[in-house]
Amino acid sequence: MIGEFEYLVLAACLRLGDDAYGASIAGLIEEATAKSCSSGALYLTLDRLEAKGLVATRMGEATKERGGRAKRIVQITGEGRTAAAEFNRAISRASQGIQWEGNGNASHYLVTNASF
Amino acid sequence: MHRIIWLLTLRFSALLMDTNEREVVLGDLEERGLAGEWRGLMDVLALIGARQIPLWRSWRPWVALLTLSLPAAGMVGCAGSIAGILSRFPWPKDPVFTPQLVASITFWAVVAIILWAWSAGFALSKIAGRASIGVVPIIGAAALIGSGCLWSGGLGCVVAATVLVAVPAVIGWRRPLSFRWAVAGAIVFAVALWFVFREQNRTDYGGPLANVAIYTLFLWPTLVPLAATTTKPLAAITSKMRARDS
Repeated sequence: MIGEFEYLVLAACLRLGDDAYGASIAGLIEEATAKSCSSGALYLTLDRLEAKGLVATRMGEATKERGGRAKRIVQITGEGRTAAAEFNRAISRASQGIQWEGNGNASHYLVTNASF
Repeated sequence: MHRIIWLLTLRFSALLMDTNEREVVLGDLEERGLAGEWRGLMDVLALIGARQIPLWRSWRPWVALLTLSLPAAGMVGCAGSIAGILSRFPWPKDPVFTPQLVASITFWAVVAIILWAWSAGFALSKIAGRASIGVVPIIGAAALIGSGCLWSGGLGCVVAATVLVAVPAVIGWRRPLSFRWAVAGAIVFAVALWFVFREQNRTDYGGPLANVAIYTLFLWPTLVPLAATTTKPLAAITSKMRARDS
């Protein structure tokens, strides 16, 4: 089972498709979580995911807005898709029967069926 | 300030990151508008720090740390003594320690310290590799505290430690020399150290056994450049022999 940050990275890669690389993944994670995503956390997680065979990375082309520096392009593998889907299903199962109130803030929830 | 932070980010990343990772991380910072921001610098430093942790699971940084800290403290202490001797120039006339003798001991001690520091920097880069980034501050702190340089040596000791120990160590760490220079350095270091110890023995400091231990402790870093420079030609010769035999 992957961790929650690993899931966020895999989900961002799936959403971005061919345009998944460090800055774009970090941007999407920040947008989704409303929290800052550090380069350290991102690249260490990508290394871990690559070691597990869940993503493949390669050096991409350099662009002007990056000061002429190359990207690390990330591509999710079949195993990566499966792992992300399993995590998502697990979260859905774990959240079954919970009705979230208000804006989804964890401190405002109401448990209507706590039996799993 | 923006420019200074960006320059620091560039310097740290150039010194401590792989070329590819540096390219990617700096590009990301530029694209995300974090170039020259504190957050960008902290990101880079945090990544460098995180990369250090797995390296410390190996025995290499620990061996470098344990075997270099004590001689480094000794060398910093010697550098402090040299600063003290130089601050008392011109030296008073003495029947045993003539100004000429003091000058020659000081000269050989300076040569020995510089060569040792260069060798130690080289040995550190060969043994600890990328983990040496974490080893250096610990050895530096141990040397400054262990030698007493920080509280009793004064500014002269800190300056002498920087010029005679830190600078040559960084040069040795970053730029390895050729085999010829490694042999010459080891020979000059051995002669310089022998001369300094011989003069110390005349004042009845320590005994022969203690000196052997100190020699071993101090000499080993000078053997690393020699070993590193001799294994390359040897490897080339043996690979040529293997190719010829097959």
